[in-house]
Amino acid sequence: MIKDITIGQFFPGSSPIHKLDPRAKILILLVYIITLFLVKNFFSLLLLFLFSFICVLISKISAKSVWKSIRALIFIVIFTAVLQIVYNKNGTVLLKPFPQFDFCITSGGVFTAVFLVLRIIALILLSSLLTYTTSPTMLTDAIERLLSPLKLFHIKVHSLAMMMTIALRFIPTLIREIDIIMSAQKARGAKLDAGKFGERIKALISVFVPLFVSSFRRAAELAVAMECRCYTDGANRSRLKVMRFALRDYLAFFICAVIFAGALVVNYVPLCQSLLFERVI
Amino acid sequence: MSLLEVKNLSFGYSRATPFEIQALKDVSFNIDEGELVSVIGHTGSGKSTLMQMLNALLTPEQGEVLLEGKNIHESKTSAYEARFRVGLCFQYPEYQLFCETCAEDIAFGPKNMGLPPDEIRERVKQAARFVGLDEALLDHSPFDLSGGQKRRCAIAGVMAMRPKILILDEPTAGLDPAGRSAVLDMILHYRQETGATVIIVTHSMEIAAAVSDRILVLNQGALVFDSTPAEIFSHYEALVSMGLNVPSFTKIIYALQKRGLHVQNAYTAQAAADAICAMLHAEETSP
Ligand SMILES: Nc1ncnc2c1ncn2[C@@H]1O[C@H](COP(=O)(O)OP(=O)(O)OP(=O)(O)O)[C@@H](O)[C@H]1O
Ligand SMILES: [Mg+2]
Repeated sequence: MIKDITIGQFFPGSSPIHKLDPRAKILILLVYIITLFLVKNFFSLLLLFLFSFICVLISKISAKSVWKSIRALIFIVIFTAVLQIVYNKNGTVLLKPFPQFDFCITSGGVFTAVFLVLRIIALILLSSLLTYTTSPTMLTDAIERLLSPLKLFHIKVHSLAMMMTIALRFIPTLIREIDIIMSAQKARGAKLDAGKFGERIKALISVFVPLFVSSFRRAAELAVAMECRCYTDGANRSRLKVMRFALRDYLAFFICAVIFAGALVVNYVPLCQSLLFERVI
Repeated sequence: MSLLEVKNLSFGYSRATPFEIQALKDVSFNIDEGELVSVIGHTGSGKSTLMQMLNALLTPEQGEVLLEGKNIHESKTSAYEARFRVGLCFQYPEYQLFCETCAEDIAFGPKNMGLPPDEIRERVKQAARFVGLDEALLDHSPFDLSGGQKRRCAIAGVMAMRPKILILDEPTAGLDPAGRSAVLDMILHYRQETGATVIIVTHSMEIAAAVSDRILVLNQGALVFDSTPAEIFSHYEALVSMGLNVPSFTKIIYALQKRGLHVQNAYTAQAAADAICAMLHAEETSP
């Protein structure tokens, strides 16, 4: 169903992750993603993976919601893994199922497959955590603040952020509206969920026309309402909630810096790797 | 056997998320052929959810809906057919108009039923007559009509399917008093002509009191009362505690009774006038 869309869904809560300044979360996520793509070493990756996993645990987001966000991209994950296993010819041959063909599964292939899958999942985990634990308004506010240096180049950061806020704000409203209109047309026998492909496309017209009409009406009403409250798109707007970094944000920066630096050190200093290998193997 | 039997319906939205809502709890009732039943309840009490279950748009988690003895949720085809036999007109139906002309919009349902063109034309004309939509307006775009006319056009679209049961979800919402009584008259007229069974969801106690044979009261997803208007409105305090109200005539009678006057219960203007006259008459004659 259309209601299952979880993009940008926010689960209110009071965990330490919910309470972090959204700017801190965005910055940490950015550095995390860069680090994730820099590391080529299994131990570094494992460290980063554990980090994202622990963050999810701290946030108290239900396993089901987390699984939902992974499931959305499961195709890419599987596709990557299969591609590596089939085409990667590095390392020793583990399995040669069809002797008459050139096809074989190698240790290099399996290793890279596991590595890439872990990397993608680590990426999804922390990225979805950002939207799960931050309300859309906070998120756009944070983006506006982070992008504010662009004002020097005469880019209207505030307008962009306001557009984003409004768009995000109306996603649930529109989903609800689509749902109602679809139900209403189904009540008159529109073949939206059954019937031939052509019939379904035709039936969609009965949903889109009312949806467009009401969206335009809504936009016009919103514009009037904003103007009635003297909204101007200027530099002089003050805010109700001013974002300030608190102690916990600095603490988060520090912990993350240590972890990311650790991952990079393990990745780039050959000595560490050999030491670790000796211990484990 | 009743025309429609609803047995132990339960339903929840957004299951397994933090936004989970139990919208209906173990709701059972029957509706007989030709009855006019009102459904009242506070905002969010599950009225619209219940109505969407009666024409199989929503599938209950528990319980069943029997239309003429057959479970409408049994298969996909039975669910699809139920939409034509139980016509549901949504809240603010004018926002669901989409065709180039009113006639086409009214014809949308009958077309989906696969009726021949002659029959469709005939039904469109009849439905337009039921709702009092001028035949000249049928060739106009529905977006050119006034709010009240749009509402009529949309209701006609459901009537044109000639459902056995016609359900109207808040048909008078957002209309002025004249528009309200016009829509009500039109529903009563339709019922008289076709003998159809009608269910009206409403927030107006006056409407519920004036037109219905029976009233169902929903509170937080549960069916709390299922009875005649007279019986329902005698539960003044219970209704008020559910965030509902009683017709203003009932309130007057209730206030009089509280002052120790012996007035009969009444819930329409006429009945209240009669009851008060009867009381005055009794006082005069008694020594
Ligand atoms: N599509 C939906 N997704 C999630 N929750 C919903 C949905 N539709 C309704 N609900 C919730 O289910 C409950 C019952 O809603 P419903 O629309 O049936 O109430 P109602 O009695 O018709 O109210 P109203 O008088 O405002 O029309 C409400 O709490 C509502 O928020
Ligand atoms: Mg409703």
